[in-house]
Amino acid sequence: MSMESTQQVKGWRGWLGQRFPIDVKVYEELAKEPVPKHMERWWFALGGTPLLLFVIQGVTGILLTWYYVPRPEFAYESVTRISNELPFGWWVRGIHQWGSQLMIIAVILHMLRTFTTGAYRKPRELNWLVGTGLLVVTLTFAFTGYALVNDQLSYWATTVGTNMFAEIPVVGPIMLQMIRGGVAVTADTMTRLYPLHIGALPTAIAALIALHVVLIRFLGVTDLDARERERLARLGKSATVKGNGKVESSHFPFFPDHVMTELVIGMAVLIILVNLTILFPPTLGPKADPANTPLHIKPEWYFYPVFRWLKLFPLQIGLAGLGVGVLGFVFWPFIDAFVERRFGNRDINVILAFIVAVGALAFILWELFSV
Amino acid sequence: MDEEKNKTPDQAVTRRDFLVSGAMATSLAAVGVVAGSFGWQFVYPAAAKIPTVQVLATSLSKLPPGTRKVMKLGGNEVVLMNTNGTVRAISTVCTHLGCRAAWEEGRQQFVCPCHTGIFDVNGKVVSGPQPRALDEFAVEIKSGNVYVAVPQKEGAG
Repeated sequence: MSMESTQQVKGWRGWLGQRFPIDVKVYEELAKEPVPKHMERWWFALGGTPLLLFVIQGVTGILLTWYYVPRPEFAYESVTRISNELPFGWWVRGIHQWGSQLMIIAVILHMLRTFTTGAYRKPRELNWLVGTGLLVVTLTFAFTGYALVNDQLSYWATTVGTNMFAEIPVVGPIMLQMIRGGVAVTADTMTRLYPLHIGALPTAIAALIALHVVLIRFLGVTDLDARERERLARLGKSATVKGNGKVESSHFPFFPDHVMTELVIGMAVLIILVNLTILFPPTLGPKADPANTPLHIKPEWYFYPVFRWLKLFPLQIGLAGLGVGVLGFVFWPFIDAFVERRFGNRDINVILAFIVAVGALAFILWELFSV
Repeated sequence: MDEEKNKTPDQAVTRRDFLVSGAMATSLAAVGVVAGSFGWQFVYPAAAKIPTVQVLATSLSKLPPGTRKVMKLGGNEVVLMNTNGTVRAISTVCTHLGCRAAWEEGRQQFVCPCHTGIFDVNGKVVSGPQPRALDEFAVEIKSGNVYVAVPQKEGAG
């Protein structure tokens, strides 16, 4: 529908069309874009789950800001009030707390699938970078989130977490004070982490999600069947490549079929989220005490691998190892391309994913069952 | 270069354009530096420089040889110990990632619960990932009183 044709439409559609001249049909066609058959399987449709959880976190987060006070004198008391006094306060906080955990699980599962199927390979390397950015933002959300509660775990996790920055060469000490707003974790730290949690991070994650989705639409999702057949054909094993070098594959429309898959997964996530909140309502540890680190202190489970790692190695070696791991993870598509060019190995991602996943799980269990 | 030759007179950069752009860029850079330096002071607090102050901790008579005291001095938790007449003040901030390495009388060690760092009675590393011994503050005995020089962290933590 062009501007001219819009003008001919009568009624409110015509009125709106003149003032907001978008071509609805183009977007309808875009929504129906065919996606490869393998996307019918649920583990290929996990990308929408973190988005759904982000929306839930946004809504429950806004509700929590109505009662939460980001000052050390009031923070713990305001969280106590939300949890114990306000009608359904515990429920809103519980959804927010469990939502954060599920969001991390969802992002990790989505990334694990992307990693093991090699969906980050050319031309999708940049979208992998955006994805790692989303993981970092999600974990920063979680970290700043539990820093705000101001119980013992909050205080000491913030102390330890921010102290790691001090070990970064040259800029580390300046960064540490910048994040803390002083030498120690104080009221100024909380008033820095709070706007980060409710302003800067949501903006960053919204921008990254938009970029992520735009890149997916530009490049399409990886057609795994076609890719495999092309590979076999290159090796001369079976499946001949037709005419233009492309292999045909069966597809189905994004809307409504794939959206339905996403909705079914979304419903399952909602059921899990609500049940977790009801069965395990949010808890609150003792109030932050800067003079006393409690004996059995541990971060949230998703930081257990890092926590255990730091216990095992001397500080600088441990942090340098983490730094190398993070850089390797972020720039993996380029390392993978290099490995393939040099050694012709296309399965190193699967082997590596297995080792890292088993290692991380082992560290989590080790920490879970150690005092 | 060919590209330069192919440019029409409209595309060529005149001296006036060059000077105007240069002046604008210089002004913007100057504004950036000035705003940046003020902004820096705002975001990077004065706490960057922590003064060291000498604090009266206790009188020597209350800390006889062979005893220890856990005290809070200027916002720092300090273990004061008198070993055969020599008084030392050891900070309980773990040198690993900043948790509190509490003095445990029973095992005669400083124990940090965060990443299981253990220090001996002198603050030296026994085991764990910590890079160095616990920090020690300068002690001075004046007229039978124990003074400790600590970083002024009052209001912090």
